[in-house]
Amino acid sequence: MAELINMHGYGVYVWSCYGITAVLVGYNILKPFYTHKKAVKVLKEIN
Amino acid sequence: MKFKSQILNSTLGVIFKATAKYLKPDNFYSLSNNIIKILSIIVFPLVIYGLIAGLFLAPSDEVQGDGFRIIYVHVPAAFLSLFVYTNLAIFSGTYLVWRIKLFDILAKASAEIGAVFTFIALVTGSIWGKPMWGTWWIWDARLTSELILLFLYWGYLAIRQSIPNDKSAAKIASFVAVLGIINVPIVHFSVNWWFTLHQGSTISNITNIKIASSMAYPLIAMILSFVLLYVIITLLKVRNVILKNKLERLNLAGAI
Repeated sequence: MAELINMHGYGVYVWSCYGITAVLVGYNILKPFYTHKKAVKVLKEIN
Repeated sequence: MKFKSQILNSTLGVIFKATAKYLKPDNFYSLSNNIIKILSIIVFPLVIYGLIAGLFLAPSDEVQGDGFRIIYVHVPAAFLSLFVYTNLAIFSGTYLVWRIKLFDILAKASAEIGAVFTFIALVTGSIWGKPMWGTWWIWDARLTSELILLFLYWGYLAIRQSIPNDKSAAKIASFVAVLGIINVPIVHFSVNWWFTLHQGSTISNITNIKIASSMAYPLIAMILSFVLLYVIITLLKVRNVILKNKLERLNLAGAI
């Protein structure tokens, strides 16, 4: 298990790459998703 | 001969009508909703497979050890940086020729997410470079042209923000986006034209894959996932713009 995380010394580099990608892509999915929820709610309220 | 052209005309007519229907914001909105749902169901298992296989199942590289696993986020992001820019240029060109607003909305949404993929490609490339090349950055042809690509995306978005008139901003930005397409083949072929530090393509042709299949399949899965994620994110954004325009007409734009 420790070796899976350490990746024979490359762990820091590998995991930081995956982490940065996950955060940036995740943020860009969630942000428009919640904006849409809000907009639908506003439109529903005025109808 | 006459019969043939009649068939052609009616076929084109059907395709044109179907397309024209979805160019209307309300129809495109419901189409987006459906596409987002379907693609989300497909992309989820694909990403899970790509991540598990890429991080744990694929054997480590003979030269680069486990460090090579960065490939599974770096290459898809870099591929998308070029793929999305090509789309941006096509959408912008279509907007300039036909002035259909939907293409401008698609272009802007593509630019926003394309810049993110380009940024990811540069950062993960830099982190990969440190243990392999011994440096975070070098002015190698591939790295420099990819950095120019990021500036093209940011330039496009900056133009749109800085010009107050929306229509002239869209026109000027689209024009710049179309011109910038010149950089796409430069990035792609840079590793062949100027062989400096960046390694050559791993998969430049689907029939000529240069790595073992246990390494290649997760990479193909991740590239496909990123393409699907690009489509999903773009449609999420476009859908919001359509709703925002609706709210603007009701003087409620500040509500979201």
